Amino acid sequence: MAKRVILAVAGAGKTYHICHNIDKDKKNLILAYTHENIKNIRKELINAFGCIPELTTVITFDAFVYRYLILPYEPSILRFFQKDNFKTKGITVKEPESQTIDNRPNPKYRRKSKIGHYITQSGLYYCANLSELVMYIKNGRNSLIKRIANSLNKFYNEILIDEFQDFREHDFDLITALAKEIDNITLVGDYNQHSVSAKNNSGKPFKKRGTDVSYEDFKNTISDLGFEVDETTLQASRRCPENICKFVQEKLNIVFSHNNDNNGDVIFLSENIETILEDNNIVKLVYNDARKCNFRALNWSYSKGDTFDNVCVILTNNFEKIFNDDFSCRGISQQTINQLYVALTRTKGNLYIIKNSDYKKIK
Amino acid sequence: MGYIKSLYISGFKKFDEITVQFNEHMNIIVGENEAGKSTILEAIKIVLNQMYKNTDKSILKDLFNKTQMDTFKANPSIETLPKVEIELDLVLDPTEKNTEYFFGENSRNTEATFGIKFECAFNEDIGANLVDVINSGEIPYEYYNLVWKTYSQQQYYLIKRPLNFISIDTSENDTNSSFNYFNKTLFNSRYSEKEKIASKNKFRNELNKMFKSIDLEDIDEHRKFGINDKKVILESVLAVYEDSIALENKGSGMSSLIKTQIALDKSKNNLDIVLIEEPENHLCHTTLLKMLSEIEKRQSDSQIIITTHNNLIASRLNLKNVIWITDNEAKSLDNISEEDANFFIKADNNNFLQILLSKKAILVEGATEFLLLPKIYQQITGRTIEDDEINIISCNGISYSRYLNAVNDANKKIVVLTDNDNKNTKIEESINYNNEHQHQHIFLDNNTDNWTWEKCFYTLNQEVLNSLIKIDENANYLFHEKDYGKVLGKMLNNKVDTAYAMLNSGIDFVIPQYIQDAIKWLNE
Repeated sequence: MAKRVILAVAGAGKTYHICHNIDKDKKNLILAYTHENIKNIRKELINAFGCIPELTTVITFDAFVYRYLILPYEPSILRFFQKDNFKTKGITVKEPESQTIDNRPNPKYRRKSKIGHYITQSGLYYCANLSELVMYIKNGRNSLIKRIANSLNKFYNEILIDEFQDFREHDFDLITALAKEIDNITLVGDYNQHSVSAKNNSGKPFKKRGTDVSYEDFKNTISDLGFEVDETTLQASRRCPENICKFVQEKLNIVFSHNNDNNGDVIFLSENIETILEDNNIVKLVYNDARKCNFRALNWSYSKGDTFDNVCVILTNNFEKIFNDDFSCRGISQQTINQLYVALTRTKGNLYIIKNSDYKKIK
Repeated sequence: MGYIKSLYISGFKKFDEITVQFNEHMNIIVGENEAGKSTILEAIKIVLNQMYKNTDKSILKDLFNKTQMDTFKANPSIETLPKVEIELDLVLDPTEKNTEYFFGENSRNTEATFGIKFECAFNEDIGANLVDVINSGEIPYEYYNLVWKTYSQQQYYLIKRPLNFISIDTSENDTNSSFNYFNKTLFNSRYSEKEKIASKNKFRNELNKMFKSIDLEDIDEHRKFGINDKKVILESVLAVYEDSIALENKGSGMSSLIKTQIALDKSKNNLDIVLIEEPENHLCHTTLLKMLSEIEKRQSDSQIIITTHNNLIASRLNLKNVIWITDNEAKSLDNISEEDANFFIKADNNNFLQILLSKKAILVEGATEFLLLPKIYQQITGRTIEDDEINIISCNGISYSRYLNAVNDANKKIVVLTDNDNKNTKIEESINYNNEHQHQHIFLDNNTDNWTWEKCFYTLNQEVLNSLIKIDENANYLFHEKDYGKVLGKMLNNKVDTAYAMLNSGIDFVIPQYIQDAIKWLNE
């Protein structure tokens, strides 16, 4: 084992792969970005082993940084800022002060060389700046990261990170810096699902100087960081039927194959839309404002990680021409494309598609 | 396997500050009465077992260090309020469950290590308006917090206890609670969570069923008696049986032995650390020997921490493992040589521990000196040896150099009184030794003619002894086939009887100069 990134497609079984390939008799640490992911991982571990293996820990990335990287080393951190006797009291999800307000300097902002950048006056760590803090503690060659990685190597046989594409900026930097020193680390993610969540949808490593980073560039970035890139293990969807995979590959220009015997078709709906909308067995995926719908609906981005028997996707205006032969995604933002990709790949069966114009008519 | 590496105490009971280093396996804590041996065991229990967690805060005044209390009384302020800190450094296997939870920098150590920290301190947040009360010299016990944290700065929960330990307290007066504790701890470490839950449930259910089956008449139409579940808790009604006799019903010596045997069977009972307080209590010599051989056999399985006053225990379990508590300091004897240590292990009946446990000591060759010295001491100083807390220790044929080697750098005055055996080399050796050692000196007569204790006394007290020692005119009284004259000859052949006769005579003998010098030096 070593440092590996497994690039996956939707429904290829990222979580399944992680959970079923650990050595349950050794110590493993599994991290993911959201609580939703953590719940899925726990469920899958129970499927695999009947219970969460005694020596396996599953926690969110933020909890990991706070409990494993900050708290045990707090004396070093406070000493670094020469605040040895400062008393911290916990963590806050409050956003840190921004550098400017309405283009004017914000007097409450603290530079990153000050402890106030990371901890409020009342002693609460800004959750948003935890990773930046860990990265910042360095004395010449002796960095906190190195010490931490050394002990993580002693404690864990393997560290696994699910939904790797969710990590941005300092979080991403922290993971790659740690990975440099960690003996066994596996990252699993889907390039095409990046920027899907409402948060964390911009910046490094998927944006470079304001432009989107292509799949190939992304691959090169992580392989330059010393990771072995695995593009075979999780390249086929265990969820989506063949016809749906073909449709997604053709329309969104994403390499997407299948590895299942599920049956289902892409069904374009322009009439009798109400029947489908009222059918509670079919979940409707809308771009946003799902809670305003008077039928069973979910936002595209919220459906990430879900699997349904049948799905009906209501398109946005940008995709009016998706059934035309000369359709191309050019001009549509990468974020919207990725969100649609998520929506289109939730079904194990049929994929109903309703154009925005048709949907508006009945509304 | 995990074990306790060291213990740091600040402001707790006897100790203003002390650090105790532990060996991975065997540890024998010795010290004078009130030196704080039990306090050390109690500190371990407080940290690992969260002792006092649910006790009333009024207990705190018994826990604080007296010096700290006095400092506060003399100068009351929030800063001088007494507080207790105890840190327990552990060695744990990082590949085992939960160990990362104990790892971090939040301790007095500068590097990240494994451990748990206990702190009992005034909570300034909740007691912010108490400044006046505090400044008037009151300690606000109710506003103290007892906090247990791991070195990773997370709350320590008992359920995540990294090491299982049991304490066997043979001096416990309240045998009932001591057995309860033992049975409970053993039950908890012996069986898995699953087995424990299953047995507790079954116990409760069967008991209810059984009671129903008795078929008592109901109280009235709607009311009847049943079992109060809260009162029958399996752990509190358990007893350990040996061949159908409950341990509680055996003699206290025997039950200590059995408890020890059970506790040390690590492969079955999963106890990492066994604390044994004064195992010599209630044990006759043979049972003690049996217990010691049990401990010897098992000592590489667990970490054993014993407190004792008993020589046999200390020397049997290797003096190198002795941790000597003196003057608020814990000293290790592990720098005594292998050969000396082995020697004391073999020589069962030695008085080694007495040296450690006394303030000042006089080492003598045998019974003669042992009998006469207290009287001589009183004659010279006008005080008794008890007044001056001096211990006279008879080497009983063991070379005094073994004792001296073992206490090597101890800050304790020890005098050796010995014979020059008619050897100039012995005299020279003693001069060299005394030059090199500040706290231990050897005294002997520096005239080789006075080669033994009896000869020294006879030279100075010839007349008195000639009339005191009755001789048989027909006897030769040769000593080692040599003729020293009849009186001295008889004295040499009957050393102990002579000493006894001298003691009972009530006579103030002239005391050889080297003995006078020795006593003078001891009291300098």
